[in-house]
Amino acid sequence: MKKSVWINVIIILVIVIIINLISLSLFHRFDKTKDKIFSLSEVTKQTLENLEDRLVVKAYFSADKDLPPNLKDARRYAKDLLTEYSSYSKGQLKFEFISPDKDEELKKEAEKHKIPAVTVNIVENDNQVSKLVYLGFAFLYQGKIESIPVVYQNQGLEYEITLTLKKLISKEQKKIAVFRNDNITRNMFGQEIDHYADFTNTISESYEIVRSDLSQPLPDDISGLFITGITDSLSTEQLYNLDQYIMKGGSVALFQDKVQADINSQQAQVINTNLFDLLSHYGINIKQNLIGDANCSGDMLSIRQGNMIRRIPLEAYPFNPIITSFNDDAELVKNIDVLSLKFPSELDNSNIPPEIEFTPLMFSSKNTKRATAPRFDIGIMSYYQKNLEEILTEEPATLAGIYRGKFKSYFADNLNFEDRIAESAESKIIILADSDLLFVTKDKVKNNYDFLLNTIDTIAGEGSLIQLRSRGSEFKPIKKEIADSKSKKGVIKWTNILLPSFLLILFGLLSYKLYDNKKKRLEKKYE
Amino acid sequence: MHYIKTIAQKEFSSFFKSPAAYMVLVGFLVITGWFFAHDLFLNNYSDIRDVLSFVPTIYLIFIPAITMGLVSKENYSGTIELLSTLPVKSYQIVTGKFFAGLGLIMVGILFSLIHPFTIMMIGTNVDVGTFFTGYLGLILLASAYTAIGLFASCLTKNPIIAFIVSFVIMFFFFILQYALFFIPSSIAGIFQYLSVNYHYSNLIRGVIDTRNIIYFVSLTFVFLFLAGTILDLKKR
Repeated sequence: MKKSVWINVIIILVIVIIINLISLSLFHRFDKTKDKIFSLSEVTKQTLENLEDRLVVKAYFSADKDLPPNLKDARRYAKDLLTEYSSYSKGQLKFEFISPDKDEELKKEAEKHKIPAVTVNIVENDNQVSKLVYLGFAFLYQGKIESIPVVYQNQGLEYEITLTLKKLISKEQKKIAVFRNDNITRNMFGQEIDHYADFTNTISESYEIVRSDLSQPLPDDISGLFITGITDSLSTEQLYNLDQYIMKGGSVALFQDKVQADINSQQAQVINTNLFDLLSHYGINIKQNLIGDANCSGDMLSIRQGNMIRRIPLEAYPFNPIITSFNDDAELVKNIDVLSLKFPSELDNSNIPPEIEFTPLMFSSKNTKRATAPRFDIGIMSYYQKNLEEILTEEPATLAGIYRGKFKSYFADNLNFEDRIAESAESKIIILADSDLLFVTKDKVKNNYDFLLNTIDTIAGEGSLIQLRSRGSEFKPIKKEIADSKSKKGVIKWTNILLPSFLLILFGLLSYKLYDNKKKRLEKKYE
Repeated sequence: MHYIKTIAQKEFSSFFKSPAAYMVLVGFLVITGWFFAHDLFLNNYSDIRDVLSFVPTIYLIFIPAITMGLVSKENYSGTIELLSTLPVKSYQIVTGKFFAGLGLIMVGILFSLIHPFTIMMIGTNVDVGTFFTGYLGLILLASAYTAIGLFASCLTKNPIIAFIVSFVIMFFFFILQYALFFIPSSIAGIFQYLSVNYHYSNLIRGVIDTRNIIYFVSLTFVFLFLAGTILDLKKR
């Protein structure tokens, strides 16, 4: 008898184990969070599938108690997100959280993995104190190490992790060619100013930058071409190399002014370069105007007075428009809420060939001003201390867009170039008629750099990464009016500790009373 | 089904005729309330994950306290022999008692709903989806632990021994997650899968994974089946 019981037990256990083993490969995850923050994107899942070897993620994070609430949340979200990565990695991705705060060896290890200790302010015993904390990741794969040194916020964490994994997995980084003007400016001490330092640092986190002056054809391994700040005409070779790069299906992004303007001199002039002739041939035209907007930021005006330079702050200057109107259908700007521009011009959509598809990306507001050639009314006195919404009443202008399709070569009829390709393969050109977007300080307007990265990702064929950049969990603080009220906090605290028990006891007393009454009734009945 | 319902109802209502069940529930509610409210404003964060993360620890004491007497008392008083003379199958007794025990735990869980409601009133960007999955996790974990408790209760006549045995088994599944560090990496995956916290943690952060559901249902089923088998053996 007992033998058959044991056999039953074993059979049941085997069935349960088999069901669990099957569930390991045939599973489904339902993300019930508000913003689906734990639903990994397809690009992330695909990246995880490409892992050929064990990948170890060492998360150097200080302990919860040493972190302020928003960073505690960052730590928790990081852990949750890595759990998701691990779930989809078929056992290839392992992670561990390490708190190096009190261990010198671990501190050295973090340093070796390029994870620095960063200073944060936290409140301890009602005093604000500065603490050194760790908030970074090191990724170890096939002898290679990549790191995300600091994670301050949840937004974009999936993007950063996936990008890092892509870097580790791919044999080499994608290359972006950059063609820009080389005008050198110097500071008051005669040192060269690298206006493009932030730009270079931002792009080189994800791509290898290859400087090019287009005097030679671009190599085949270039994933995209970025052009900005051109003020002079190009040589025929340069134009030809650019044209043929596009004809071969290469994608190009241009952050290019049409009109050069300066707030200090309050003057503007049209840039004359044959680059615009080439673009015009493709059906891409920029109007000779400068776009002002009532929704704008301020600026600093430098006025020379004798040997001194006086700097006057301007509260609002319409030609520093703040753009908040974006094309919701365009993937490239889906994660962008606001951009800060300087002296942008308007795209002219009137002569786009039918074979070219145009997608506008951003617009000025309904309080727009078009300062047109040749006068360019950009003088500060026209707008100083005036109600801009009343005086700027023109219709919105399109400031950036994507042109897709088969472009006709600028050299199609030029018999001097025998090897020319007369019509392009499917290609795209992204244009923003403003190069100053790159020079608005990175920390000040993060969105400007997100737009830049989105643009680069799009021309490099990594557009699927864009949706990741804005993803992440939100910080969820308690309502301020409650958090600031000591009495409300006390009431909420004690209500939550005592009320459930009080209600339960009340329920118990009531049901005891009912039971007692019933008992008495029955006793009476059968007496 | 009729027998299961009758046993469950009888057992469930008998809980509320003694102060012991109230004492256990009040203890559960005060402790969860304290862990919810104590750091709520210090953390300044609108969710209930901290308290949900702590509940498995409270369950280690709370659930054995509820389940220890479910069958062991009947073993002690001999009423189990009386039950075995009735046309009731062992699995029906076990399932009925399981639902009664789980029902009592659900009462505790029901009263703790004040915490998510508080967050909904005082919080910002509240994620109600995570409350739903968190409470689903609480119920699934309670089911598994109740089944373990019931199994332990079937083994002995002494409720204290039943308490200790169920605590030890639950603690084994509970501690696995923290013991992975000492386990060779080749088999760490198996132990991680066996750990209740590994599965529970997914649910409390807002993700329902079919693997987690199958794990909890399997654990519950296996221990209920073992409890039924023990009762069967005792009948013979």
